[in-house]
Amino acid sequence: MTGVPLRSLFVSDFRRLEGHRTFPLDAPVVLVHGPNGAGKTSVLSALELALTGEIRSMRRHDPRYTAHLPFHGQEFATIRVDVSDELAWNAEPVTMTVGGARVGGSSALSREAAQFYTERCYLDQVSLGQLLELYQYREGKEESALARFVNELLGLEQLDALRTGLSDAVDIRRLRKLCEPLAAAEGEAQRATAELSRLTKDLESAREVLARLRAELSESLGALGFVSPDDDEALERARDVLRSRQPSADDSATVDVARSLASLGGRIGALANRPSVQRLEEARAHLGVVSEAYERWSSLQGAAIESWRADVENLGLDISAGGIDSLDTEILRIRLTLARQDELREAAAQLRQQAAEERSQLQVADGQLSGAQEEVGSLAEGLAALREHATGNVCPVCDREFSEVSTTHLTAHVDLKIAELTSKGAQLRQYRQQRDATAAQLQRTEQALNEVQAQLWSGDQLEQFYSRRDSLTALRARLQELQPVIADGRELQRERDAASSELVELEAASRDADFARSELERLASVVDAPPPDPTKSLEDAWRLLNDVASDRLAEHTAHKRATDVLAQSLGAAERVDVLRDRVAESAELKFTWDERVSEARRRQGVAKAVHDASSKARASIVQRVFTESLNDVWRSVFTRLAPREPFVPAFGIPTSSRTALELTLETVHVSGEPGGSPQMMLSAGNLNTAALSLFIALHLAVEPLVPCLVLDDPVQSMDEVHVAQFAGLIRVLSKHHGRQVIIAVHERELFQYLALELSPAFQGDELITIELGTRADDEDRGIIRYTWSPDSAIAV
Amino acid sequence: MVSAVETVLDVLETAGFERLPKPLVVAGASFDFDAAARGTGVSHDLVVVAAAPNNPRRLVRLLSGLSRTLDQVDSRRPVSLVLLGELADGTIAADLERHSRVLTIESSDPEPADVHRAIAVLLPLALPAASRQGRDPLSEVAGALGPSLSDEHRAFLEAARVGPDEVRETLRGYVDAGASGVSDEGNDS
Repeated sequence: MTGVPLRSLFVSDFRRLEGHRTFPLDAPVVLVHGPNGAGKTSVLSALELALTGEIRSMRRHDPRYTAHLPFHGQEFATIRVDVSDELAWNAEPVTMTVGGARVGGSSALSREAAQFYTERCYLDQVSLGQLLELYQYREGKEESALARFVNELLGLEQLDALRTGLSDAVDIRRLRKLCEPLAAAEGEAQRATAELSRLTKDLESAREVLARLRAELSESLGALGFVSPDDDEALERARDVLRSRQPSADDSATVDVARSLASLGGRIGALANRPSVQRLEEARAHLGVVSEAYERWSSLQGAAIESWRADVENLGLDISAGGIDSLDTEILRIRLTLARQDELREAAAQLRQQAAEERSQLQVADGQLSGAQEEVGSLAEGLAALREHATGNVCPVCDREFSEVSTTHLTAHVDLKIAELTSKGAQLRQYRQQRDATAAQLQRTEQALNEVQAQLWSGDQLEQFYSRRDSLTALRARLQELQPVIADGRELQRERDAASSELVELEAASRDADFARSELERLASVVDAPPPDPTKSLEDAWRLLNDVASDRLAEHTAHKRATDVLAQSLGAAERVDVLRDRVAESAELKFTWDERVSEARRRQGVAKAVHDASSKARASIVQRVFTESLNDVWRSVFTRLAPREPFVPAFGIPTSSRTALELTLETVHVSGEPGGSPQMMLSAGNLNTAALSLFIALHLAVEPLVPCLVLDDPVQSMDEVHVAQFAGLIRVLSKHHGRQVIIAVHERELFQYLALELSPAFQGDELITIELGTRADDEDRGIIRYTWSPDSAIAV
Repeated sequence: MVSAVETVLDVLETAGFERLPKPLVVAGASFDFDAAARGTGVSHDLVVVAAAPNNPRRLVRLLSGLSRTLDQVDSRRPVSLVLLGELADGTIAADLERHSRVLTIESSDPEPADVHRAIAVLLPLALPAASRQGRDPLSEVAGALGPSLSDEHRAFLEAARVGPDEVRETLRGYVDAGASGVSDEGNDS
């Protein structure tokens, strides 16, 4: 048999195997049997060591395991494995030497093939019972062996690289951080949009202004009598028209004339309300007549009047305010003053008499007061002195018993006397008050008398007053006589003054009229109008000239307005042109940035499409691998081994799109309902079956780099049904799927059953059985090679 | 029951088994099973079919006789019994299992799928096609993109073969060029 990967194993003094042994392995199925301790596991360990350079289960248990590999008492062991040419790492089989801490020689398989053998082909006895735990064990942040296998199976590195690298494309904010030009282009596009919007508004506004100004210009030109179609040439034509129709007079001069005419119009209007100039000569003649009459009166009556006035002034009287009334007032004042002097003299006489009476009353009161004071004072003091010595009823003066003269006790009598004298003191106070009142009244009377006497005039003074009264009375009489003459003079003076005023006014009006006419002539020449007609009134002349000036001013105003509006229109048209260019430039800029942003966003879309496609592909691969490559195969293997187990172990299919897959093991009931984890739902036996089936499923999930399965006593805890199923499965793996199968079992009956079940089934098919222990001493050394021969038992 | 036996035989024939004449004759002895078939090609299984009988001991004897007969002629052909229906006595099942693999179909009127499930251990495993397993994930992305796939998309797929940083740099350069107004030569978009 040349197609199998493992051909033979040479072992010398290795663990339980003493001496040299060569085990042929070149058959599709190799069964190794021996009682416990006979060296079954030693054969499979030697095979692992020779193929891979280590024994993983032992290393896991003790890193220095190589020291214990030589047969007891031997220093070293040697092993050598012969493999198919496709797998041979070395040109010739290399013998490995194992002893102490070193392993001499190289393994038969390449590192990759060796790893595949260790992980996917060889299931040692120790690992089977804890396979699920070993698969899921994670040291620190390292992924579990199962996760590593699944990830390798999925082959998602490139997909995840794609998704990770494109993750920024999914979110525009993250993409902006990654691609600064994109953020910059979006900013520029926004600015360009805002600028274009602003400029467009400015342009619209400028166009509205221009339209309004052109309408205004058209109206202004219309006022000047020019009508032009509102087309592109309108402004040029308007400029030509305004230049050709320039007003002759200076603009400011016309305004001055209008202003002067307004002012002059007021003055001319005022002249209409004043006396006519034609009366000027008449007024002059009237003034001469009234002046002459007044002079005549003055020469006749002036002396008498002046004499009377001199007399008045001599008396120190000012009659400028009122003539005879002033005289009457002064005369009355003198009369009242003299009457007052008479009253004062009478009052003084009465006061003198009253004072004399009060002096005599004062003398009487003084006498009464002094008599009473003498009587009361001395007696009261004497009695008070005696009262201190009157202790008994004996008089201290005469030493006689007071009872002789009175029934009253002496001291009581004295006290009574003192009390009576005390009452007389009150009378004394009354005398004093009366005397003081009389003295005060006398003092007041004398003061009043002094005041009256101070106001009384002397005889000379009285005489002067009487003389002045008489003079004034005489002047009054003279004035009464002069009164009609004075009235005449005053009337003549008033008439002369009135005539003089009228003449002054007429002369002023005449001057104003002359000035107004000359001003009208001057203003007419300024505005190039005919001079005022002398035959017409000033008002008419003014009105004519004012009409001319108003027309000129209106023409000026209209021209100036049209010129101003034209200038504004030209400015507005220029601004429209400038803004139109800027809008065009801004629009082009905006278009450029929008294009760039659009292109960048399109590219984001392309990248996102790739990202989405990779996510889709990833989900599809995960689903497919988990379903088809893992779960379907596992289920298929498990249900062959445990057909009556309702809970079938499976991988939980990850639904998350995260890069790191969360691997979980679960069970699914045959009804399709999800169950708990295998450890929870399965019996210990079926848990082993689940582990064994998982191991086989994982082996089948990948390309068989080393197409063999080496199982160390995998059916220890299986019942007969399971064993039968297991045998069937191994047969299928061997005969249908081309796997070389090497199985070690320690139970003889099972060994024989498997030997029968796995016997050659077709031409070229072979089975090798290796029996260890005492059978090794037989001639065939316990090794039997079964070849196929036609089975004639069943006749067809 | 005939139809159930026929269903089993049909499934077996579909799986490459060869129907044997009834009664089954082994080394000159005949065995009255309801049906029998043998494997062909790489299989040399002998499959006998029996309905769960009223007298199960007879089935045990029959199977035991078959087993002994095969032993006598040194036949190493493995025997499997397809049992239609449940056995009332559990000890009978154990007795049967001593002489052959027993594949029980609980239904007395099974669907082909039930039969297939019961005899699965005799059939090859359904493994996923190697072509699907070994498919390049990036070509699956290309497939997901469909007709829209362009050189722009392919640039990312190529970068993914290097790593995520290369993809990110490709994305940056690609979007930056678009945002900067730089036209990519050879771009077929």
